[in-house]
Amino acid sequence: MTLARAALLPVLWVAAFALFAWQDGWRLALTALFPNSRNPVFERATLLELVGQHLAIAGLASVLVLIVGLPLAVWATRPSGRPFLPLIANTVSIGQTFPPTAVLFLMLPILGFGAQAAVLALFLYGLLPTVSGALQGLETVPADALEAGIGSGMSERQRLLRLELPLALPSLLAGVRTTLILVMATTTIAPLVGTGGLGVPIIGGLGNDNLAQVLQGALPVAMLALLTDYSMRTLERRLTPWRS
Amino acid sequence: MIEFIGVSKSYNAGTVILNDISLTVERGELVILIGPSGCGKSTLLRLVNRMIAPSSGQILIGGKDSALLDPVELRRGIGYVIQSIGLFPHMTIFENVEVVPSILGTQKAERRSRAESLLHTVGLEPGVYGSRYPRALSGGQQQRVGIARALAADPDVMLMDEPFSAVDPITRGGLQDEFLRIKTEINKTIVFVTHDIDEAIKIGDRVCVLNAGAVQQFDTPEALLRAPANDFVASFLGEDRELKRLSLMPVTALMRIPPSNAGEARGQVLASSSARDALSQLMGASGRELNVMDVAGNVIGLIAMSDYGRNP
Amino acid sequence: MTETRGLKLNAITVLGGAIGVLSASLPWLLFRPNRLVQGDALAVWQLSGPWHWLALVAWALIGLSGLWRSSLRGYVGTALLVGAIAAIALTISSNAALLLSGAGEFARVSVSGGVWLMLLAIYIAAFGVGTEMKFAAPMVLLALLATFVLGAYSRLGPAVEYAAVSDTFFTELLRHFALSIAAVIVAVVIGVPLALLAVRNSRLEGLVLGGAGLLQTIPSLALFGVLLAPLAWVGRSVSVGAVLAIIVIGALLSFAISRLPVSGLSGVLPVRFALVGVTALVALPMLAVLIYNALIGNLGGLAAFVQPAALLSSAGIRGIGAAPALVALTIYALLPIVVNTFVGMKSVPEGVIDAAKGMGMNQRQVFLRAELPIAIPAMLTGLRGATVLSFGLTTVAALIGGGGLGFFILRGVDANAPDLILVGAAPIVILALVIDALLRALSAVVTPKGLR
Repeated sequence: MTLARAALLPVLWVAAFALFAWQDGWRLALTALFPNSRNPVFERATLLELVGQHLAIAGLASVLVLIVGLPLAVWATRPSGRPFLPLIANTVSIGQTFPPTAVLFLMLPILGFGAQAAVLALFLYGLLPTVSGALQGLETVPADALEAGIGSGMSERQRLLRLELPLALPSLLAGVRTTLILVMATTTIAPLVGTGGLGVPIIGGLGNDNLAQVLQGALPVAMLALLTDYSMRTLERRLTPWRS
Repeated sequence: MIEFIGVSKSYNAGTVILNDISLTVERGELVILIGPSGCGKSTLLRLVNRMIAPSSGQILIGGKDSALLDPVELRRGIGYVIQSIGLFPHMTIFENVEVVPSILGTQKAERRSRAESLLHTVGLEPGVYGSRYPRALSGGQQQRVGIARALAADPDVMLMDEPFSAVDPITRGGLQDEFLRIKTEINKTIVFVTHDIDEAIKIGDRVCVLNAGAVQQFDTPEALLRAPANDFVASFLGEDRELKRLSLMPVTALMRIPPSNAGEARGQVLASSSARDALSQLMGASGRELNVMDVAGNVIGLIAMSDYGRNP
Repeated sequence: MTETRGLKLNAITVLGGAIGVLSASLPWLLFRPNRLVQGDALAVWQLSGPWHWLALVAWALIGLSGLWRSSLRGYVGTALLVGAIAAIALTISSNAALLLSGAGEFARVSVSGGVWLMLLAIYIAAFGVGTEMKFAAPMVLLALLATFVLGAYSRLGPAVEYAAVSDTFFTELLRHFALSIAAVIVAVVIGVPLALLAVRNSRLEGLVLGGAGLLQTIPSLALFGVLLAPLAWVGRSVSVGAVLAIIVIGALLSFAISRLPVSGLSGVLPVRFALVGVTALVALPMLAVLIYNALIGNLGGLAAFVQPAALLSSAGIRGIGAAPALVALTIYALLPIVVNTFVGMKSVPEGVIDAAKGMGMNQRQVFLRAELPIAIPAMLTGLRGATVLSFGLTTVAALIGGGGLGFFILRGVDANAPDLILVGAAPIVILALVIDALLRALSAVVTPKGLR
């Protein structure tokens, strides 16, 4: 039973990719669903290639978020960074009111067209939930646990690694999950600023009234988002067994 | 041994928390710090492991000036138990108890066996509780773990800041009894803060009564109750302090050695009872005298109301 | 012990000033003879007039003011910041006028990286100075607004592009508002009862909260895309009368079941729930389109709803257009509404409900007098979240022909005109902030005093 549960996640991912790779299957299904469509399948790239582009853009932006965002949040809660904590906290809270799509386009005149600019814009927006979640987690570590940690003779570093970060994990991981979903979703719109990915058949299909291609892009994006969400939730449960 | 030498603590605004405190806690002794809230008792305790620094004065631990020691190293050698317990919620009970040994680099197997024996000592079955997380334990059980955790690195000194005041009165009584038993097993120098005078009298070797940042009296519970140094101490001890003192006194200290008519039918009281319990029985019993019995059932003395008049 | 005298340095103000000075390393303005060419980026030293130097001096002084340990620095910082804003505005307006004179009607001047960086510097410095001088942030906002109103930026690319589309701008703005508001209204109509149902029935709790969360995870464009085909089909093949009939039958059946003597049986609730669900699902697009048409004053669209024989597509329910946008937006707006209503109702202490019952209130009175006032702050948080969210997501609606401010973004993308993109994107961001602030203020007013 537990083995089956542990295997579920990898099986789901493998199944999803097998489905993405099955180009003929998509052709058959979309042709059957949309008999009147002339090009039911996006032909300039295989679905697997589109998925690859999508994950590369979203993944790069997300990795940058983790590399920059987590140290930033830790630094903002250390004595050296504390003077900047109000600024950072206020910025991430206001920033999240900004609609991500509008931000993507607002960045366009500043950063320009192209994949690099899109990754940079996605990264900047993706920082907000991760930093916000990490800050919230680090700022709400129970005071009694910290007191006991200091009293036990933990050094600052040990407190951070053994107490603060593990105890911040629920909030931190929820923030990371929001970032991943947000970046994954916003990447769908990124073809408008000059990238590839699953948004290409969707936006192209919307442009020339080709609902089959819209569906060919939309379904995999939805699947990827749901799988990512589920994977992160599973990870959250695994990493914080003490909560339930 | 812990020595406070002319220790004062004040904050920037000019509030004086502690004013020129000097006192010595002997090795292996349990000293209670007690007083009303704001008297500085917790501050005094937290000065020992340098959770806060004194404004002036010295604190010697085992003869060494604590200001010259690295605070992190210092704290690893001092057990610390707080009212809010502060178990690490993300660690199992075992991991909680093993925190300090693991920081100090003790081998895993050694750590675990030490944790098991400590959990036994505080009355928790390691096989049952060791792998649980703190949230699965009751408040009383959590504080037992807190004590085990503080003992894990076998420190010479234990600091306990109102450790039992967050639990219900019945659990508290049980914890105090258990703690008295543990105390004889571990033989540590313990500084214990409480606001509960009954707890102080019950478990303290010596009690230090503080008020407004100054020591009012520092003596054994018995001496404190017998001769309060001033009105503050007297009122802090309460109008029933003579009764409290009786609770510290075994009934055998007051009884008379019986004449020949020892077998006469009377009420009975065990020799291990306190003088206070015997008094309570006397008031309830219709007879005017009670036989004091040893465990074997022999009458070893007699006690009557009138014996309380010769209060030593 | 050493005693620290006076104030510490204000690191945030210093950072703001430093970024302001650093903006000199990027070009401030961009000049293009027409839309199609790359254009020339103008660095600071290529600008004319004294104002840009004054702006840089102001930035340097702002940075230094953060190091100055005097209680006056809050006032000095605010004055310097307002001065910097004025200097930047004068730099932009005078240089834009100079560049455009005799350059032809297709020439454009836009602000470039350096100015955007200074905007960031203004925010940071205002935040820093604001920790010492309460009115710093309002003064800075006022200064920015004043330069805007006084026309300092009126010759810049976005202003020119706006002038060209000003006749359609307010139509699209209205559509943008109508789409997001209609979606929020429908989400409230569906979400609040769902949340109340979940509060009363713990078996539905997981289904309702989990379901709303799952739908929220799906990327908006994907949801728009997935909805296209079914809505297109429904629009082509179902008539208005059929939907009305389903709604009426659903409501009647649901009412009838609730009156059945077996209503205590466990099997009935799911049936009733499913019935209400199906009815709501059928009614959702129609209700949303109806509200939307009412909001934009489209009487023709409204008229279609009273012609039972007409197909739904004639009433606006098609694969492309407002309908799929409304359905998707409603789905996204559901989660904040449902979750916050649920949390708000759960936060009502048991004791309060007990006491209210104990003093003889009936169920309705308990709800209105005890539970609702306590739950209202959380519910308003949900309403705010839903409104801001759907206002932002409406941007995507333009892609499926739904209109809204996203329309200008798409046109800008098609025409490779970043200035036109700003005409769409900047109002969305600014209005999202304004809506958020207004709804926060509203919820502060509505929250019972004892709960503040």
